[in-house]
Amino acid sequence: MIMQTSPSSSYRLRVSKLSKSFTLHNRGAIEIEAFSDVSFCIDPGELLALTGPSGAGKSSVLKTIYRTYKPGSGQVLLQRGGQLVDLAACSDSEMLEYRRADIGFVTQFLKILPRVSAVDVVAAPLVALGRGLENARAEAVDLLRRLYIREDLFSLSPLTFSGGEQQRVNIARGVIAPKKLLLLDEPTASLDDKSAAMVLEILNNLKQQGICILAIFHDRQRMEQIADNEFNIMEYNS
Amino acid sequence: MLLEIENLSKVYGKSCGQCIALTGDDMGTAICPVCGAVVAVNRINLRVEDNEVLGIVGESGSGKSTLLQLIYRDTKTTEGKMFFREMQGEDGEPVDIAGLNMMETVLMRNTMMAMIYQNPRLGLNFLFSGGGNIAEKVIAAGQRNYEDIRKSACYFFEKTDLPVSRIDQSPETFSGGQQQRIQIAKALAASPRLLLLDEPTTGLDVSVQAQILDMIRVLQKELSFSMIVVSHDLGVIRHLTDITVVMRNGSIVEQGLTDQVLEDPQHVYTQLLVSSVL
Ligand SMILES: Nc1ncnc2c1ncn2[C@@H]1O[C@H](COP(=O)(O)OP(=O)(O)O)[C@@H](O)[C@H]1O
Ligand SMILES: Nc1ncnc2c1ncn2[C@@H]1O[C@H](COP(=O)(O)OP(=O)(O)O)[C@@H](O)[C@H]1O
Ligand SMILES: [Mg+2]
Ligand SMILES: [Mg+2]
Ligand SMILES: [Zn+2]
Repeated sequence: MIMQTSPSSSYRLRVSKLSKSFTLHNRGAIEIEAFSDVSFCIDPGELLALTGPSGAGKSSVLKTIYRTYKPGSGQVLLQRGGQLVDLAACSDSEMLEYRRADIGFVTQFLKILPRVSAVDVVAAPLVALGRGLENARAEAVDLLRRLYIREDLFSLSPLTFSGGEQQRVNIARGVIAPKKLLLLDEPTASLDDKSAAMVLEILNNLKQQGICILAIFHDRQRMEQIADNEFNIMEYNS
Repeated sequence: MLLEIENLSKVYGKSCGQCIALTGDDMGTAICPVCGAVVAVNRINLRVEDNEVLGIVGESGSGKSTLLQLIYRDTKTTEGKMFFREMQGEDGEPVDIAGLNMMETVLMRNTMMAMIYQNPRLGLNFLFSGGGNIAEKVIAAGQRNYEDIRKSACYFFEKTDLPVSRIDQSPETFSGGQQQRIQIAKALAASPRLLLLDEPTTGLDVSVQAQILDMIRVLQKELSFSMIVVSHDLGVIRHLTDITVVMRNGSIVEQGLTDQVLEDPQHVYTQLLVSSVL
């Protein structure tokens, strides 16, 4: 596998010298470094795998790009149409708009509101785009079936599901209305081989549609089946 | 931009003239050390975009309710400006709503902005029926025909999951949760661009709270208005809002995307607030 370093001009996402640390005021103001000086580019249709040992800061990189964590220093440049925006410097309102229109995030653990059925959780991104409810639900049902979710679970809240089932609902919601940039945190970690293979097939499909993907994988073998490039956070972290 | 607040302050009581400068979070107090006046809101700047949901958290007495009351013009501004896009001057530019006269304020409340109070007695007239409270707004918005007014009242009752069969009863006869629903129904009748909610579910049973929060979320998405939600409860803030503002001593100490404020709080006070619920 080739290590990704060369900046290309056709990139969709360019992360440049991004750093993040936490100051815990109520614990003697200690500083915890999440990661520092991270730089890489991702092209449309490319899947870049973020690798490194546990605690290296991989999840924090995704959260900082998505602004769940406040960026320390550096840039996160995203091409949207003819416009180049810095996600590390834009306003909160702008970030909300970019999240709505351009960036999908499948977090490691499913975060949803209670009392919403699995089908509606998955259909929600389509409904938000103005798709009719019946139509959106039908598509959600298809996707849940493809991911081997049992039919009798469809109308229940995923909060009661097993870890693997929750993860598949999370992925289904993240890919049903794919945006230009997709962030994935260990999407196959608690999946059996059959479900994991289906997830990889779906990701492959997204790549062919030109979606740009930044992903963390738990399992090196699965990562190598799908990644175009790898960025090891420890090797590049000075 | 729907609402833009610049340097807004509110002093309760007679001011010695230095109150605002001598208070605020950097001074560690909201009480003027010279004259003892309370500076409930201290030089606040805030923006709300279309369809955005802003949350305001902070301990009791930090000025959250006063801030909403200033925007809704329940109380007079001491200093600062508030530009609300829906209220325009003759030049078509937003006017400073801090300077509205009474008629203009009534117009704003009838057709552009609405408030849900924690205490339903502040938001509803208990001498009218539930439907009558809604009809008041429907009439103010221009409907004159009795049948149409009644139909609208029924529509908003249904929209907020209230039993239409009880539309002629006084709010008194409804449960606390239903009284909040009547307030919401009344607010919707003004077809607001901005909805202000002051602790809308505080004091209700947990299950009733959940239903009302769900309903507010659905209505906000469906009807696309902006909201400012005041709550001391981070669960409510997480459930409803996109952006969160943290207040203490009348000042904003932190502001950010709601998930960021909850997962990566910056200010010492916010870190304490977040860690105390985990
Ligand atoms: N919200 C947070 N507050 C404080 N420290 C954090 C937070 N999130 C992550 N960290 C710390 O940042 C470092 C990197 O964590 P993480 O990004 O989860 O690593 P990885 O995903 O590579 O295992 C760890 O030391 C972790 O404890
Ligand atoms: N009508 C009033 N007259 C005098 N002081 C008031 C009045 N309303 C509120 N205050 C004071 O202003 C401060 C902020 O109050 P409030 O806005 O209600 O805070 P919160 O809603 O955050 O609990 C408090 O110190 C309160 O006692
Ligand atoms: Mg991780
Ligand atoms: Mg209050
Ligand atoms: Zn004073």
